[in-house]
Amino acid sequence: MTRLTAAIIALLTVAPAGAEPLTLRYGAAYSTLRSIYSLPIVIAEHEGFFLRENLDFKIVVPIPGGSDKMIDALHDGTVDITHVATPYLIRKALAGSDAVAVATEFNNPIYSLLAQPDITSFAMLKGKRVGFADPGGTIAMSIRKLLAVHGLAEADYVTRMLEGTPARLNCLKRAECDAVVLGQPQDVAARNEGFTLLGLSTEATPAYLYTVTAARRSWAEAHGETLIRYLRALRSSFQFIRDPQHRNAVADIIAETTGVSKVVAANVLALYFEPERGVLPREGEIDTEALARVISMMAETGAIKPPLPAPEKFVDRQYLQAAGVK
Amino acid sequence: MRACSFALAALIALAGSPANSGGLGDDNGDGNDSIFFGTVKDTRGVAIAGARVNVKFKNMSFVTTTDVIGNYRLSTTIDPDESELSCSKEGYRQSGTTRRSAPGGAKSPVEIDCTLQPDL
Repeated sequence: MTRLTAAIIALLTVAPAGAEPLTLRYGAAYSTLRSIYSLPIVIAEHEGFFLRENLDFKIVVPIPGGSDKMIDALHDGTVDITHVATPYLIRKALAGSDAVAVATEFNNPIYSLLAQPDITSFAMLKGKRVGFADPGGTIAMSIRKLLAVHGLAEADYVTRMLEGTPARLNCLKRAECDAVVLGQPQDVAARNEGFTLLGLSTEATPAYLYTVTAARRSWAEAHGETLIRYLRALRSSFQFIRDPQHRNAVADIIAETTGVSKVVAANVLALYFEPERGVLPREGEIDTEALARVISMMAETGAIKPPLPAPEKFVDRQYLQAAGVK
Repeated sequence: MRACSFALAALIALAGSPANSGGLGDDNGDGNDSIFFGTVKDTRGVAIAGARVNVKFKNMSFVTTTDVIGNYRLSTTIDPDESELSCSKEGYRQSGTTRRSAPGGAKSPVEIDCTLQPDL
C-alpha cells in the first residue's frame, strides 16, 4: 500500500460526528493491568483518544489468563484485539494462528535483577532462589543471558516462576526469593528501599520488540475501520507520552496506575527518555529487525527450530499505514 | 473534556494499596482484589459446564468459563458493589442471577449464581 493510498483511507475513516461508536474489545492480561505496560492504553483512555475516534473501547481480562492465553482469547471470540508479548504471538502463529502484530506497544524493555540487600554480586546468587517470569518469554530469556554473562549457568540457581512484576516483588519482600526480575516502576522503588540492583537485562540483550497489539488477519480484514481508529488513538497516546510538556501529567498517571510515588514515576520516564532508549515506539510503528531478534532469542533457547521464519510473517502494517503511522 | 474511564479508576483504586503488596500471580490476582464465585445452572437446577461468566463495570470486564460442575471463580479489580455479572452459553439465554454478598465490605468474596434458560 502506498503512503498516498494509506492517507486516503485514513481520511475516509475519520470518525463521523454523531455516528454510532464502533465497539472494540481489547484483551489485557491481569498482570499488565497495574504495570507500566498498560501505559499507552491508560493514557489513550485518560486523554479521551478512543472517544475522539468514536470507539466504544472495552478492556477484557480473560481468567484464567496470562501471557500465553491472549492469542487464544482472539480465537475463542473473547476479545477482538489483544496486548501480547511477541514470543507468545510467534508461537501461536507457528502453530497455525492467523494472528499478527498490528502495532508496537513496548520496545526494548529494561528489566532489573534485584537481590536481597545482603547479596551484592552475581557470584553470591549461586544456589539461591531467583524469581523469574515465564521461561518461554523474553524477560526470562534476557535475564538468563545476563546471568550467563556474569558466569552463572542455569544449574547455578533455582528458578521460581512468578508472572508479573508485582508478584515477583512480593516474593522478594517476603524473602521467599533471593533475587527477582522486575520491570518499571517497581524496580526503581525497590532500589530506593535498599534492595541491590545486580544488573539490567539490556546489558546482555540488544533491543528487541517486546509487546504488541495483535489481531487475527481475518478479523482485521472485516473490521479495518475499527482497527484504524484504534491505531490512530494509540498513535496519539505515544505522541502524548513523548511530549516533554506532558511529562508531569504522564508521571502522575504512572504513579496512580502502579502505586509508586511521583518521584519514582518521574525517574521511570527519565530512564526511558533521558537519553532516549527506544523503550516506547514513536507512533506504534513495528521494527521487524527488533522482531527478528526475538525470533533469534527463541531459537537460542530451543523454543523454535531452524529454519527460522521471517519476522514479516508475524506482522501486518497496512492498518498502521492507513492510520498515518510512518 | 477528558474521559476518565473505569480502566484508570480501577487502576487508581488498586494503587490505594501499593502494587507491590499483593500479587500472587497472573491468575490469582492481588490479595486486595475482589473475588466473585458461584455456579451457573439451568432452570431445572442442572449445573452448566463451559458457560461464559462476565463481571463488568463500565468499560472493563473480567471473563471466565465454568468448570465441569458449573462453578466459576474470578479475581477482579472491580468493586462488587459497582459490578454487573452476566452469564451466557450458546443455546441458552440468561434468566436471572442470585447474589449472596457476605458481610465484611466491598472486598469480601461475593457469591453470585446465574441461571440460564434453554432457547426454545
